Amino acid sequence: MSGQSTLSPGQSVVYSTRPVGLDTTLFVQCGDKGDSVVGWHIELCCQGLNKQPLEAGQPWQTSISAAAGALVTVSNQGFNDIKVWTDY
Amino acid sequence: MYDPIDDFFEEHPAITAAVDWAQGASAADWQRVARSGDAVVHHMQVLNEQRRHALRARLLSDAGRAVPAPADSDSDSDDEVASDAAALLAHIRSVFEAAGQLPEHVHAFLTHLSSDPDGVAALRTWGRGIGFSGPEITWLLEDVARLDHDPIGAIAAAGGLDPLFAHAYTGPDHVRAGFLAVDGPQIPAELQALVSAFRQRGATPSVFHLLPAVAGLTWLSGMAGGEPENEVHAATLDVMVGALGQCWSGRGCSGKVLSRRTSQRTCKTIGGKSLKTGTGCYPV
Repeated sequence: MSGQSTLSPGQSVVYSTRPVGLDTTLFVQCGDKGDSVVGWHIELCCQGLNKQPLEAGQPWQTSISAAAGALVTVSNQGFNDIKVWTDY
Repeated sequence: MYDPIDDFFEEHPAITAAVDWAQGASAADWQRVARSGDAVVHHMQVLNEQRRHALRARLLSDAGRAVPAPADSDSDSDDEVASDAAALLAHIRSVFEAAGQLPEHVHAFLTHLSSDPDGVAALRTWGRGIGFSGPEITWLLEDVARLDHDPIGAIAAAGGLDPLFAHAYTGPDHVRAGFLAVDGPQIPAELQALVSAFRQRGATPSVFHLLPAVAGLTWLSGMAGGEPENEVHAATLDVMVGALGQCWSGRGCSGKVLSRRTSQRTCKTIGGKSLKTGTGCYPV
């Protein structure tokens, strides 16, 4: 499991993912203030920025297995701190 | 009255300065640039063919459909894929090593190449020639634009070429070839910095961001003693010289840029005058 990172607004962290055929999950925990948005981007050709708004204290997770061994940049697109980590 | 051709004309010094510099450098170095530029084209063509098959196979597999074998499965072993990707990186690196320290006006020329509409047209022709799809070329050029048309500068500011080459994927997964990757979950600090710096500007770091400069330097090599032979370069030169010919028609521009040391191709018509073929091209 990757180390947990606290991201302030505008900050980002880069994670690796498991190779094709294996799952990797991104976990996010919104702080008590809410009004946060997590963004994640697969560092390959022609990928868009994915975004998910988060409410105060809301835990959230999503599969980033589509990256299949590529890097994924996770960023804080909102206005309050979030904690992020992966199961890889 | 505003005339867009005047803008083009004003940017002309960046091109002539770059060619002046190139023609003052070692012909042997430019021959190496030309050879490496040709090799980049070859390996990109192979890699793109493999990569496109891999992308299609992944889509079919995800949809639960049968995946056809590659067209030339004999040459598609994992080892060969890895060696193609590694060779591509080596030849890209060789282009920059042979060209040496690039002066400011060469950076200006490369910036001009990817920002001017005619330069973009040339790069699109080149990109298609090396096997990229239209959307992939658009993605690359938009990424380069996000880096102010100076990916070399952006890479240098984010740690330099070494971490880029060190972490560019060259393994058997075609989809990741040329992009940054690591084995395992640990991300080295220099890789974290490089990716984050690019992401802040909305770009994805890859060795492909160096390709416009490879095209530009190979084009310069054709004017400075090198002789790129791959027809993909020739197609690019046609677009470039054609565009410059429009600019220079009746403008009294220096003909130096048009003086290409090549004996293998028919020169373009510049300003309504046909240039000589044979031992070289001459300014009108």
